[in-house]
Amino acid sequence: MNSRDELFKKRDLFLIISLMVVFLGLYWGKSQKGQTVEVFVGGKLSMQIRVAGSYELHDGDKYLMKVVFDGQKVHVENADCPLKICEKTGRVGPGGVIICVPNRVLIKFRKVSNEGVDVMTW
Amino acid sequence: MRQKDSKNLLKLDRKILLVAVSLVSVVLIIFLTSFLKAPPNYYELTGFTLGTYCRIVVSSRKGSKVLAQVIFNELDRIYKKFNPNDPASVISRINASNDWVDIDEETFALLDAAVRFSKLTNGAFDPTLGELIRLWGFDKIAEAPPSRVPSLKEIEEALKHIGTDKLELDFQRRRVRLLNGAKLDLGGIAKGYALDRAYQVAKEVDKDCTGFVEAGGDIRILGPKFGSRPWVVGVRNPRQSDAAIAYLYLTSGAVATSGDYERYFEVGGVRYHHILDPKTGFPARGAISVTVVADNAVTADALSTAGFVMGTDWEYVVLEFPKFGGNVLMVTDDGSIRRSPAMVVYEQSR
Repeated sequence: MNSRDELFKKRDLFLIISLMVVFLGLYWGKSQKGQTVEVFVGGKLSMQIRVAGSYELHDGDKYLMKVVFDGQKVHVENADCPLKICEKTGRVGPGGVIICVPNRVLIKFRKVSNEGVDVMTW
Repeated sequence: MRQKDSKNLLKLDRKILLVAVSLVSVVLIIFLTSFLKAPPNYYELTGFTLGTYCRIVVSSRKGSKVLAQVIFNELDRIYKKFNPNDPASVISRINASNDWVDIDEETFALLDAAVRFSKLTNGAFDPTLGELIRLWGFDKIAEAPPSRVPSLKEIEEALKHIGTDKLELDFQRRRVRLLNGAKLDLGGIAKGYALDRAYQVAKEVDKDCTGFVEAGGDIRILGPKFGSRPWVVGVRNPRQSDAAIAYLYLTSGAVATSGDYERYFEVGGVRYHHILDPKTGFPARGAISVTVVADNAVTADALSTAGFVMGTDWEYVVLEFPKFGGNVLMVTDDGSIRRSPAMVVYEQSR
């Protein structure tokens, strides 16, 4: 079999492998993309959380609550509001929200795609 | 002869080429116009009104941002108008009077709808629970949660001021009168009404707009996602806030949920929540979550409250409520999920 009859030439194989590497890289990058939690106070974006940890939320000098993000889900601790509904909401993941009406705080995940749940009824 | 044949063949080849090019062009045009058409951009506005968090997701060729603000202003207008804790609201004005009160057309229509839903549900939905809600301490959103269970005597006394027989509507002179110290609280229907008004306002501005409006977990669909796809609505697991027990696929209509996890307190290991049974005066038992899908948000809102109150009679709720315009998904207190037969349409219409 001479080189003209070969199914793939060396440069074709190189091209195909390169493309596969690029696509795999893109897929891996997308699947590893971390979640971003957005915290709004009075309708204004106050904090963006990408790294797991415990974050104190203030409105000016006033302490509001502690927002705890474990990398997958978020919850509230030690809120200063009387009803504690935000604490009772527990841990929420993408699609869910935590609301504190007295402090006008909204905690939610930033939407990253058009797939999945658009809104929750509760 | 050979020359003639080759000329004919050449003509045939050209024809085939022309047809092929035309076909490819048509396919390309269809592909480009259908599949590569840029989806509409959705603008999202979040804010606090109706005593809760509201989220408006809308796309309009006439300006999504402006339309979202128009919708929010309408929600806020209705909140201020029907908030029983606002001394300037029409509800406060009616509650403070012992005589006939002249009211505007919108208030009259909403009160009439509330009375109709009360009769439809044998009083399970009741717009005159103001006194009982105040007794339990669930009337103040921003204050500390109640921690005391009222005495039986107090509850019996409050029950004397409850019932739509104590709410008189004068259709001739468009006025209302509360009898025997009854107090209005439209918490079980005003949010739904606000969402329906949001829909009307949005369609008046742009009849082709799409999106949805959410107020504290109640949702009114404005139009299909990207003009053709259903919005995916997760139904919250009442005992695990980060999980869903079902997914609804909606291109129109509304959905509302009533649950025992929104506002409650516990005494002696017993959960006392804010959805009160007009017959007993105590928090309703039997259900822990009731979700209703309906053509409009007023129906979904009122029936979800009524369905929750009638939780012990779940067969009636899931089978009869569809006749009133609402399909039900109920979680009973033993954790079982009960559905109206037609709910399957919303759960599988992906």
